Amino acid sequence: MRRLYTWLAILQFAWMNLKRNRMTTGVSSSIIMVVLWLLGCWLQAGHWLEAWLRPYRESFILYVYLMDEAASGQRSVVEQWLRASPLVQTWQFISPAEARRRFIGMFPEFQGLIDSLQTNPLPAHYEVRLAPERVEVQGLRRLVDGLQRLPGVAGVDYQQWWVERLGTLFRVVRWGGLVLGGVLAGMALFTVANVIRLSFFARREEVQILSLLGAHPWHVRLPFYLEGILLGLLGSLMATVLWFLSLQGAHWYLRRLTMAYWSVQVQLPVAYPIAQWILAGGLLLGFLGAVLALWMMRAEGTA
Amino acid sequence: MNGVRAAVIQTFQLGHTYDRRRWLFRDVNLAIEAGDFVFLTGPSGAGKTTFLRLLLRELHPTEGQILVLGQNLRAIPDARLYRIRRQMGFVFQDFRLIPTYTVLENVTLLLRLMGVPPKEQRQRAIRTLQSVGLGGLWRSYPPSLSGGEQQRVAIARAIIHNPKVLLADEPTGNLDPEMSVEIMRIFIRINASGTTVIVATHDDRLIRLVGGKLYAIERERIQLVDQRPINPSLLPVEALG
Repeated sequence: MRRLYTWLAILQFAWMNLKRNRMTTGVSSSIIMVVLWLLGCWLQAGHWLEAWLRPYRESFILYVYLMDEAASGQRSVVEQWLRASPLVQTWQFISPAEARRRFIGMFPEFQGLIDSLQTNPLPAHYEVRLAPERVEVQGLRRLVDGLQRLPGVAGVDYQQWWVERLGTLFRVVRWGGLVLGGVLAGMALFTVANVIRLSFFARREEVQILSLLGAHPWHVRLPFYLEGILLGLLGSLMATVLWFLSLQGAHWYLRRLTMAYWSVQVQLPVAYPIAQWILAGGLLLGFLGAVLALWMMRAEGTA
Repeated sequence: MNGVRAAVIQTFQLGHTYDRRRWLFRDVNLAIEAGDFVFLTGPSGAGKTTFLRLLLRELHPTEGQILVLGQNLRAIPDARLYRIRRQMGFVFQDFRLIPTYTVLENVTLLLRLMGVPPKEQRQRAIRTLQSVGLGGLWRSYPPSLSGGEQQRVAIARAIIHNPKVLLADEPTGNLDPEMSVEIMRIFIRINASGTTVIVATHDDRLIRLVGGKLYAIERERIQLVDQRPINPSLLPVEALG
């Protein structure tokens, strides 16, 4: 029970100090809010992008064309390759007759032309569906190169342009987010650390009194850590609210826009777990900011 | 008090200098016993405050050893220093109260961190404030109090955890003569309850008025120069009985 009262007292010290320094508390929690809000928006944009592009990624089909003279042993080797690749979800063997039937089904106006030919020009091939969550450019290239080198394979065709463009887009989103997030988090960390340092200097005498009265060193230090965590919590709560309101605003605006021009209703799914990330990010930023502040002060010999 | 009393503070070959050229004191060997009322005097800059800071281990002595309540201060790790400080109380000349905390919050500062339940904190604070004559002011903030009242709040803060030793650095330096005597009465009452009191002051009038043991810092030495009983007119009634 005594420990609980001690914790309550420490929490109270930290809270009172935040209240006492309203200006610095407001500025630093606002910076945390902006950082986490941007991060949240970036994550949400990534989520939307992923959701929009999923149907395209799911429709990726790889065509492995076989030579006319390909033996059944060579087909088995191709199938072994397909079975072993983590990128491949399913595949189907299409014989020349099946290919012809499908072609005529799709383009009936060319039936006469096909019938007039002495031989079936359409080769046997495999239609390979890729696992959308695993498709990435480098892996796909490796698979295609490997298949192309197999005996009996005439060629491999895939929507290279699309795959590569999408790959680039995802890379930009991922790395851009990381870089932007890192820079912003660094700024927020530095701000929190400086706010804690200012707070320490403002309370230097109080710290000295507490120490002389016999406060445990952790009782003196903990309020500063808690202050950082509370700043982070405050900033992240504000960021969560702002992020949610921004999503609602974006949703409303896009709906209005798409309804006006294309008479379609756009659905933008909200990724609620992002709110957890924002909150966790705020707490972590606050705590690390306090750790950095106390470390800097110890290195300077001021704490 | 009869018989042998334990020494609460002992120094062995104690010496301190800030610049290695001018020593404040050297080769100091003294023993302050439990229940003593001690004045430490000397001119400004003689080293009175430094001596008290050494006793609190705010500073390490340049030479020698200090034993407080049987523990060698040099041997106590920083993380455990709080244990010895909790057995001591300290009163500053400039009060050092936290202006944004009420009197009650200032007085209970340590109790809160020690995990004392709020109800008990309040009861102990009000009792202690009453003992220094400030029972009704616990809701006030320090800036609204007079110098004498602020010093009494500082004393209440220093004694609320029942320390074995109370150190006071020029506690009457900012007070008028009547209030100084009043503060001394409080110290004598605290001393009568068994706490060893050490007051650093250069106010000869007060020293003559109160009595007790007088140590003086002169020519790099701290020596016992006078020893008289406490002035009975300042003793609390219960101590006289």
